[in-house]
Order: sequence, then C-alpha cells, then structure tokens
Amino acid sequence: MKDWKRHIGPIASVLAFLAAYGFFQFAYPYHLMRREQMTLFLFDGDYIRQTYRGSGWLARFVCDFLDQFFHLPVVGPLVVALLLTAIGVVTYRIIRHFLGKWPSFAVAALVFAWSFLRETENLYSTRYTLVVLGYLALLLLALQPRQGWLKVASLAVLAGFGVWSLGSPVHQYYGKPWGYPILSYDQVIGLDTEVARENWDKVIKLSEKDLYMTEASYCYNLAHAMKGNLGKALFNHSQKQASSLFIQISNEKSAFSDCLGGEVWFHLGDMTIAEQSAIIALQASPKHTGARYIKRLAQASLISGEKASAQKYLNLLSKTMFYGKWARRMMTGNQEGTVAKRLESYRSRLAHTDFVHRSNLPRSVLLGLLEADSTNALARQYLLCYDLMRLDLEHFVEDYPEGIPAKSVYQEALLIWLSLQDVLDEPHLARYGIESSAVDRMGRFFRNPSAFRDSYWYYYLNAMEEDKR
Amino acid sequence: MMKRFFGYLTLLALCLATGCSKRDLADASDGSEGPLVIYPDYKEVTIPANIAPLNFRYAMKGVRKASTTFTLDGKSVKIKGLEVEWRLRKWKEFLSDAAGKTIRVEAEALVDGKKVTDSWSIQVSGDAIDGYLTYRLIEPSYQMWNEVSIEERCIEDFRETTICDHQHTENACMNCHVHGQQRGDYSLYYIRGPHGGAILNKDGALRKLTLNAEGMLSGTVYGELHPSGRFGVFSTNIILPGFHTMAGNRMEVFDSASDLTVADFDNNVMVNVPHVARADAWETFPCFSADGSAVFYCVADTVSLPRQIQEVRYSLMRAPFDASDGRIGEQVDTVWSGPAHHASACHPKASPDGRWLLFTVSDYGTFPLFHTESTLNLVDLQTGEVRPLNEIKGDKSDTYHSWSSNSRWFVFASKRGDGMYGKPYFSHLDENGVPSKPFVLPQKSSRFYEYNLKSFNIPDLGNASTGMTVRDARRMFKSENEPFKQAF
Repeated sequence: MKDWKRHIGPIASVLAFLAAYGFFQFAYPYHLMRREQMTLFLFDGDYIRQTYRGSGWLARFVCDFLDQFFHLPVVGPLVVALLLTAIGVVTYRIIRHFLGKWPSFAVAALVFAWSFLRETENLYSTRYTLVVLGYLALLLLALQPRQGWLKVASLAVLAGFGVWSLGSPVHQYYGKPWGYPILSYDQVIGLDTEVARENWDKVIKLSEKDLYMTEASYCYNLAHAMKGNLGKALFNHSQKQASSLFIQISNEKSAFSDCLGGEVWFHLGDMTIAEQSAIIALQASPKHTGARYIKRLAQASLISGEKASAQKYLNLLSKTMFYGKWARRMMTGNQEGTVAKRLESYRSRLAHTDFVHRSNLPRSVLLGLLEADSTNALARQYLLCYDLMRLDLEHFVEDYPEGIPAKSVYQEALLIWLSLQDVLDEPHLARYGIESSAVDRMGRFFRNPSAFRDSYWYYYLNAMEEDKR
Repeated sequence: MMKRFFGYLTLLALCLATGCSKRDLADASDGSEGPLVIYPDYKEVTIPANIAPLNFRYAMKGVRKASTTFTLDGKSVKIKGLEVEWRLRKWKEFLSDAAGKTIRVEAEALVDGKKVTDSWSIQVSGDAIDGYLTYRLIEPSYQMWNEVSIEERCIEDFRETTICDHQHTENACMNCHVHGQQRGDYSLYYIRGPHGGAILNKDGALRKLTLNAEGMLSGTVYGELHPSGRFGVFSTNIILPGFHTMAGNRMEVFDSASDLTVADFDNNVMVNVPHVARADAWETFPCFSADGSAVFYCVADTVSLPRQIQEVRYSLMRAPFDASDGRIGEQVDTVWSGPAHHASACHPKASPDGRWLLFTVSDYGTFPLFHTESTLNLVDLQTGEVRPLNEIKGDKSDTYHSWSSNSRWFVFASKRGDGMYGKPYFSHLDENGVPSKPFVLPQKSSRFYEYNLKSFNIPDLGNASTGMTVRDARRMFKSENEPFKQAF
C-alpha cells in the first residue's frame, strides 16, 4: 500500500498517457489525420527560414514538425498523449513549489483534463498544447533559482523568450477555452479522410451508422459509385436529393463542404472543379496550406497536362517526409507502370468540348464527360442517379444505355416511367430487360410502401407527396 | 537527460540535412535559357538602378558548385553557391553608379560532374522606377476569400508593409488598391462586407466612402482616380464566376451586368450618365487619360451568359470627361474594336506622360487571367497605332498592368510558368514604345516563388509609400461610412 502511494506520480502519468493515447487512437482516430492533411512541413532549410519567422516561430516550427507524424495511425496519438501527459507532469512540479503532494496532484489532474478535453470539440491544435507546455516549462525553469531576485529576473527573461519563441498564449485560432468530444464529428472527418485516401471499403463501413448529413451521404455515394454499385446502394442510406451526389462549390457553403465537393469531380474527370475545390481548401485551412490539397492540385495538373504547375506542387511534396516518395514517382520522367497507367486512365475521362458553367449544371457536365468517354462508368452512374434524385424520369430514360438489362433502382425507376406512359407491357419490359417478378414487387410496394424504404418507389412517392404539400 | 535531448536534436538536424540534399529535384518551370538555367530568369534583362537585388538560383538537375561573377566598370563581385543572394548594402554599392551601364555576369558550375560555363548581361537603365508596389495576396480561387491582405512592397529593397489585412477587419474581403497618378498620398482600396467601404487616401487623410447610390447596379468595383483629386471613375458590376469544362481552361469570371459611374469626392455624389449605363451593353474597366480630359473604358454587347461567353468581345472606347461637373461626354470614339479583331479588350491604363495606353487582349470575355493567349497591347495615343507586345508575351496570361510615374516602366501580373500564380513582372519601355524583356519582382530568397502559393493580385506602382498601415485599416473599418447620393 505504501509502495503504491509512493509511486502515485508515475502511475498517474502512465494512466493519463494511456487514457489520452487510447482516446485519440480508438475513439477519435481521424482528428489527428485531418490536422495532418492541413499541414505542410518541408525538410528544406530555406523554407524553414522563410516560414518560421517572427513571434511564435518555435511553436509553429515544432507544431508543423510533429503534425506531419499524424499521417501515421499510431504515432500521432502517441505524440499527443506524450504532450498532454507532459502538461500534467510539469504542472505538478510547478504546484509542488507552493502546495503539498495531493493538492498539487489534484491541480495537475485538472490541468491535464482541461488541456485534453478542450481540444476534442474542434480539430486538435498541437500548437496550443505546445504553447501551454512551453510556458509551463519556462515557469518551472524560472522557479529553480533559490534567491528571490534571481527568480524574478529569470521569470522576466524566460517570459521574454516565451513571447519570442512561443508567441502569445492567447490567439483567436486556439479555439474555445472548453470543449467536449463529439463522436459523430470524428465520423464525418473520418469519411472525408478515407475518401481522400480512396479507402472505399472503409468509407462504406463508416457509413453504416447513418448520420443523416449531406456530406456523409455524399461520401457514401462516392464510395459505392467507385465500387460500381451506386445504383444498387443508393437508397440504403439517407439522401438529400441531388446535393447528396454533388456538393455545389460556392462561397455560401462551408469550407469543409467546398473541399469535399471536389472529390467526386476529380474521379469523374472534371479537373477544373477538382482544382478549384483544392485551392479553396488551401485557402480555408488554418495555415493556408496542406499536403492533401497540394497533392490533389498536383494530380489535377498532371492529368490536365499542366506540367509546370504539377512540377511546382511535386517539388514541394518531394521535400515532405510522407509524400516525398509519391511525388518523386509522379514527376515527369519517373512515371512508370501503374502510375502512368492511372494517369492515362484519368486523362481519357477529360471532356473534349468546352463550355462555362457555375457548377450548378451537373447534368451538362456529365454529358460532356460521357461524350468524351462513353465508357466512363462513374459518370454514367452519377448521371442516372442525378436524374433519379431530381425525379427527372424523361432524362433518365434518355440517358439509360440501350441494351443493358436494368437492375436495382434503375429497374424501379423504369417501371414508374413505363406506368406513367401507360406502356407497362411485355414488349417494353423486354426492351429494358425487366423481369415480371419486378412488376409483382411493385404491386406489393403499393400495398405496403414502408416495407420498401430502400426502393426508388418509396423515394419517388415521398417526393411527389412533398411536392403536393 | 541532456544527452538524450541533444540526441533528438542531432536526429532532426540530420533529417533536415537529408531533406535539403534533394534540392536538385527542383527544376524551375520557367527558368532561363542557356547552358546554365537560372530562376528567376534575370538573363539579358533591363533593370532600373534602384531595384532590389536580383537574387536567383541555379535551377537544373545535377547542378553543383556554382560560382557567379558580376562585373561592372572593372568592379567584380563573386558569389559562390547555387543560390545567388546578395547582401542589400553590397548590391546598392555595386549599382551606385550603374545607371546606363551594363553588368556582365560570368557563371560556372558542375552539371552532372562536368564543368559548364555561361555568361549574360544585365542592362541598367538610366530611368528609375517608382519605388513602391501594392498588391493583394490571395489564393487564385476567385470564389471565396479567407485571410487576405493588401501589401505594399518597397521594390528598392525587400521591405513589405501590410496596408490592410483580415486580422484588423474581421476577416473581411479587400481588393483593388490603386494609386492616383502613381502618388503615394493619393490612392483608394476597398474593404468589402457590412462595415466596409472605399478607403480613399487623399494627401494622407483617410475617408471611408460608400460609393453606392440609388439606381446603381452595385457598389463601385474597377476604377481610377482623377488627376484633380476630386473624381474617381468606376465600374459597377454584378460579377459571377464560372468553370470551364475543358481541363486547363480553368475559370472564367464574367459580368451579368455592368455600368460606369463617376464619384465626386468633394460633394459626395455619384454622377451617373445613361449612355455609359446602357442595359444593352456592358461597360467596364474605366480609366482616365493622363490629363484627365478623357475616360477610356471597355464595352461589349450583352449576350446570354455563361452560355455565350465565347462571343463576349469588349471594345476599347474613349469618351471626353468634363472635370467641371464630372460628366462623361457622349462623343464616344472606338480606339480598338473587339468584334473587328475577334478578340476582347480589358484593363486599359494610360501612361502618365499621355503618350501610351496599355490594355490586355484575349480571345473573349472580361477575365483574361487564365487565357494563355492574353497579350498586352500598346496604343500610341499620338498616332492611334495599336500593336501587341508579342516580344514580352509569356506562355500564360499577362494582364493587370500599371505604369511608373516616368512612363518608362510598367509592371504587370503574369502567370507565366506555373500558370496558376500571378507574379509581378517589370518591363522597360523606350521612347519608341519598345519593351525590354520582363523580369519578376526580386525576392530576398531566391526560392521564394517555389514555395509561394498565393497570387500577386493587381500590382500597382506608386512613387512613394502610401503610409497606410493595418492600424489605419482597423480605424477606418470601425469608422462611420460617408454616404453618397445620386447627382441630378
């Protein structure tokens, strides 16, 4: 028992470390990754000299250096857990100069809990943790001399050093003084992160819990479309009309939506919107940079044939720790095998005809993409689903490729259209490859619509009723 | 403990050193020609004697151990290394008596282990350039803004002062700082948003104006200040952005409506005249002639947008201006016809000596920033002759130009090279209207443009500092706006 009490400090530190690590590793796995995407740290002396100048340079430098490790799933939480635990330990040592063991322990635990929780409502800010830790460490150093005058003198000197190297402890970007974890927030960030990493299975898995959010449905749709499955999976998830398919990029949307809005267009083959979306993301990110967005800009430039801008972005990324290898492989002259093939596949999707639109005409853009490459299956899926979401069955039938038997929601939509045209007969069913069992199923739907919530019929019926209201 | 700390420190230093060794990967997209490629390209350029040091780097794969020798009047300065960066004082001493002379540059380096030599000249002009350049730094999105700033750079050295920024204006958008007659104490810029207005700097005194009155399409947008100090001529525009579907064509920004108006700063009235506010035409980009007796502007017939954007062709017009009442006269002449040339005119700017006028020509539209064909055109206002300055055209867009007060230099924003980020380029114009090879705004770090992810928007030359600071911006942001009324 005595031994336990004597070692309470190290035990509490280990527990605090494990709690912080466990939280960021398992409950909030995407927060740190998102932070990393908005960071760029170049291993280049000149860049470092140019970027980290003025008050707070050391905090910004160390913060960006550490943030790049958030790219890795285990290292990020380890780094953050260490920093948070260090805050608790240093606080304990400071308070011990004035109070007894247990009160000091209590204050340290409170400061640890505060610095831990305040970071969980928004994106984790390494810089603020570093600034808090830095100032606490300087205070601890200032308390070391025994003479009172020396303490005051060192406090003044170290405070000056703190302002110079760490910057102000109060800053508009440090966020709110208090916060609490919002787990659904991490899930949305997770969807966005996995979309960027093209981990479509993970996106689908994360979508299992329906958040009833446009952005979440958008990610779900993209993942299923990339798997060639959008037509089948569309109504297994909540949908907010066409905005679940395309997020319009405009200054009326949040930066998060604008950034995400470019993902679909990149895969469809519209590099203009993909590029603008990435630039808006850079603009909106706290440091006006971000490896993820620069990578996307490099990709868009490479596909568009804009070699000079691609080179600029690749040069930047080549000096990073985690994107350097990728960037070097992408540089002209180094593109081999799968890299060259993938770029070529994206290039084949580019539109051949030009017109100007305000990102509110997805149908025209999709038709342009299909005109350039009629085998662009992603564009076809999006075009058909876009027609369906807008209840535009005329265009849906027009856009439906002939000679392909209709499946899933497409079949359901065709049945509605055939009914509306009053041609629900054998020859027409055969033309679209619709089996008679589907007609029976539609009959059952009309008897009990709520049993068919995952059907286009249910969506159509509800939308029509809402229209009437 | 200390040992461990220093261990980590050594590891970081090693990491940095390893990273730095990758430098030879950084090929410049628009470096110079010749056996040794340098970026920025300062080979065979004409520079003013009062320009900041032309720092550059050797930008090619496999280059090592460079040595560069600058010789002028028997004086030589040798700089070793791949990054040729001058100490300011040394550069100023070197150029102290250089006006009208030629600097000879001899360079040698090892490229893939072989010795390569190169040489070039830099002509130092006897004409000085205005010492200050203002611009807005912004990512090239043209959709939204976040944390933008208007900067004033002393181009004789590397000092950069922020005139207005997001921190002092609640993250408001701001744009279009223009000097009146290139004067530091006469200029105007906008802070947008609910507490915004046009910030007029006249003889150093600042006013915040609401340049909008009943019947106008919008607040004022593009414009210029009259030599008298009493007027400003502006366009009012409903501006919309659009995307091209063809990759590489990127963005188009167009007006769904636009008119011209004149602001009378002495009487706080907007002078609107119907013939430059027609519903069947779009009028935009107005500027005054050097003596203020005329207004140049662009006009196009209306079409359905964005569908017919490729049919939008602006012509360059000239109309008399009456400085007694601020009215734009009805006797309008066509200086350059857009439809006749199957092209579109933008951004006219008259030289301060009254001899020249520069404007941008692109295939269509009113936003040449992503038009690779856009070219600066020069009008000789004495003869009426118009010619494209093909000799200075880059591979990407050249536009948003501004004159130095002696009319011998002009600056323009060019996206040459990376095609994405506008950079200020300077060119000398001789008495016959022949421009010199443009050179980019020198930076303290020769690698600045490599890392820079912002555009230098609307670079504008001034012969003195505006003296405005972010504190002034905050004071003006919080001050009451002066309303303007419609003149009858």
